[in-house]
Amino acid sequence: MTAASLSMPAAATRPWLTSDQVLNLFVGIFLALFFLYLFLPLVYMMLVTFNDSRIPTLTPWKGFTLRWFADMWNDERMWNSVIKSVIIGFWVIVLAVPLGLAGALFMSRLRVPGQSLIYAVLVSPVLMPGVVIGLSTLIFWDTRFHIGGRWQLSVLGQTSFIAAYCMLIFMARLARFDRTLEEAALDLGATPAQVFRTIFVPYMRPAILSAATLAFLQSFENFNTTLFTIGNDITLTMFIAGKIRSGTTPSLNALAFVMVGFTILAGVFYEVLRRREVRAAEARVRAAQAAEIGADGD
Amino acid sequence: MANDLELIDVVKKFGDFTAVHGVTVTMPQGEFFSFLGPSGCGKTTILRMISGFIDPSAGVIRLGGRDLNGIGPNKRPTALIFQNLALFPLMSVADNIGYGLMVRGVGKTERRQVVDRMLELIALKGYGDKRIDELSGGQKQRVAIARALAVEPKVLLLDEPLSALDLKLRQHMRQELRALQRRTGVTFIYITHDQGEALAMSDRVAVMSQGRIEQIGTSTEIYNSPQTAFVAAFVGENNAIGGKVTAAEYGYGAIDTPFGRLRAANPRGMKPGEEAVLFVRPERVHLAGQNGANGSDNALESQVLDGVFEGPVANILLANQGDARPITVTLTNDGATPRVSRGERRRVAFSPDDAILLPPYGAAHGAGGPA
Amino acid sequence: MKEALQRFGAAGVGAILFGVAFWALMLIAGPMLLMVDMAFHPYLPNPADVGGPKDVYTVANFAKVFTDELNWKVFSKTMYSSILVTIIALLIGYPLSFILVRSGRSGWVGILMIGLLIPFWVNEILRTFAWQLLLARYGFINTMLMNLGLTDDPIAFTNTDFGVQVGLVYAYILFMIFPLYSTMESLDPNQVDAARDLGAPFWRIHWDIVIPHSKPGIASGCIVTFMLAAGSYIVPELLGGTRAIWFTKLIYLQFDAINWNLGAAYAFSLVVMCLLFILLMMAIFRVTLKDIAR
Repeated sequence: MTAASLSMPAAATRPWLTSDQVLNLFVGIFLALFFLYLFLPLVYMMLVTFNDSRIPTLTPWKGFTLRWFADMWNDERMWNSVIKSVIIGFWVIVLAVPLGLAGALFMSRLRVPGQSLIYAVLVSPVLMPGVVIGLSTLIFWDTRFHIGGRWQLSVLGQTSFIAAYCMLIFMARLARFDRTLEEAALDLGATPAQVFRTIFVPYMRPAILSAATLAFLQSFENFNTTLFTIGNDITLTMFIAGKIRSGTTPSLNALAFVMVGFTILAGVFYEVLRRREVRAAEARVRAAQAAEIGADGD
Repeated sequence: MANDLELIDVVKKFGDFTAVHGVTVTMPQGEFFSFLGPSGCGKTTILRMISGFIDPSAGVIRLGGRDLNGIGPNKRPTALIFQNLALFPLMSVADNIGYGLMVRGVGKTERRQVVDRMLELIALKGYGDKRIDELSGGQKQRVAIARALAVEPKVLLLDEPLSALDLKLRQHMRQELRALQRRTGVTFIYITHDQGEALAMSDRVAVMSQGRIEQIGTSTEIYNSPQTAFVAAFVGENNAIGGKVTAAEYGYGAIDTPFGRLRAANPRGMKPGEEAVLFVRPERVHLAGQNGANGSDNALESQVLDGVFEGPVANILLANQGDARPITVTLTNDGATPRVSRGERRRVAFSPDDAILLPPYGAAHGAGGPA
Repeated sequence: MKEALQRFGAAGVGAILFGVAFWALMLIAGPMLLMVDMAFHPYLPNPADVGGPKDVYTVANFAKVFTDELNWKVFSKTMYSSILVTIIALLIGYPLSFILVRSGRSGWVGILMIGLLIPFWVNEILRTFAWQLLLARYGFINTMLMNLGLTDDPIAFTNTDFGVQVGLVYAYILFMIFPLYSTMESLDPNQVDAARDLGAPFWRIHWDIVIPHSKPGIASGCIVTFMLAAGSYIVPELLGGTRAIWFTKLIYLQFDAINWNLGAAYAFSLVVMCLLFILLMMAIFRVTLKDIAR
């Protein structure tokens, strides 16, 4: 026998905690601490909203109030900044989604020399610090076209990298596209435009929807690129940053409460939808199997 | 002797679901033992309990008389061959085989010796530096076995390792596995849903259904003398004819069926009045007059429904007019096979010694079932 | 090309090419090249000098990063802190990803995954604001510490590098977890079980099986986390204040002072540092760009 042969530990009694249970305990503690770390700041920030104190803190507690919600609601500058952010987000969708689709089609369906280099250029903004994108966009459009900082410039700056995210989404979906569907449509007499409209776009619709959602969310929360390109316009993120810098009242917490609340609701909604989808898919499979068995039998 | 593996009343529950109901079996050292059953019968659960990945909810697993409870899979003298082999793709063949030794701190030189010996054992000498993805399916199979044997396990557990191979290779690997087991003398515990594999390789087979062992025996016993309706129906082809027992004496019984009264062996001692199923293998049924059906044989009047030629054998399906399930007769293609045509009326016959009476499937687990 | 013309028509192909050209040239390459060009030119306050004899190629702007003591301190501190943040995020993210992958996708794990995502759907500024409230001089943590008698005076968490690092880990840890999770998910669980069955202890399983398999995920998680940390503006702004200045702030100050040439040089230096970090990761983990981009 070599040293490799297994020695047999003498074990007969059941330990009161098995090693698996100890491990599970550690895992549980680790998970609990991690999620505490994730959520404590957000929960604290939300709770502060209800303290009747001019500075955002929970201690000392000065009594329950809802006035910070009213304060936030009546803040006209905030509403203006929200509108500006929505406008920018809208135009980013309008630009980034078609550009991303063009990039994805360019990569998957055309054969052009230097294609991989062009691909590298198109995805490079994903790995570029936002401040660099912002500064370079400003320099380019200001010195060459005399378009200085303003919200339209933020749209261009944000589009440069958000279009890359859209392209990646489209490429993932395109990789699973069955091209014979297009061939079948052409074979049945459809024009290229009809094929695009009736075959391609319906197939891509989920990807287009998620790309548009992602584009809007990315734009809405962008700070770094916007900082350099926004000029004197104010987006919601700029508004929040300004408020924090100048020392805010808990009316900002009220805004945070609403935004975090929406996020949680959206997350729960998404998970419920996902589970329903999974269950529906399972039910469909079961029904199909049952139908098959029924047809096989008597 | 020294390293007999015993499972005593082993139970495994997952929540409300009981995957294994009180399984008791002893596997002597050096045996090639198979668990055979359809998917979901609990055989994989048993394997994972023996290897230590999951703990039994109740019962004891002993190796050489010592309780394995509380010993993790990395400390157990068992080695598992995974269904998908789970070879480490980022390591060479030699590193895969030597892995178990390396993690035990065995020195490089000794490790190389063992690896070389193993490569020789599996006839892959000189393949040590190859990458896993350079190997063929059968070679991967053998490397997985070598990797498990390198740690000198007392028991080798195999989880349907041949299922990914094509038919020819699978049949070849059966012989190879059997030979390897004889050469090494290690206990092999093999789980499979493929009865051909189980019957061809094993010293003994345990047929499982719904978390219970239906029967343990040699391949011949399992095939020729099934003890439950499940085993009779699951292992091999079998004609099943249901009916009511009318007489039982001297180890034989008579049963009234849509084909009339038939006689068969009655090892379970079924009593008159009980529902029973008569099983008879298609190759034990013959066309009357063919091999001199004698007077004590069961004879059935029937009509030919269809004939299926399969090369070495031909299967003929016959039915009594009415609702009875068709009976299959398998004829060997020995040159003297009679011609039959569809719609023709033929008498078929079989000896009562070739047929067996068993309680219907599901009745066996009822209270007070026959021992 | 012929196939594409057949599928999309000339107009379709033209639209694709125009879109890609506009995006690549006007939004990416043009701005970037012009910024680099500008970084190699001196700042000329008088517009009349631009293009004149004074407008020469020079590396003076870059020299400023390394010779000016404050600049260099901020630059090296940013790099060091970003590496530290990356390591901490890896140390937390690795076990977390492994636990989540091994737990499957059923029941409570689905809830945990959503719980993981929710904080990262919240605006980065608000998340940083939340930490500012916790870490403030009389914020939640200091109040707790003083109530527990662990300290008499509030500890300065904000306006310090420490505060910034805490905020950066919180802000970007998901970008570490995601790539880790997806590479670990592609690891066949039998690989782990096989190593365990062959006798490997806990740490060996990770060293021999899980880490080698997850290398591309570790590399891309580290790269993204590092770049986000080094390029972060708002986290240091809110948690570091005027004391703990980040390199991005120096870029902004030049932009504010209309010395775009110097700002461009600083920005380009940041890009170069990020590229060096990518190369470093690729060397350490012996992976290619292709592995990472997967």
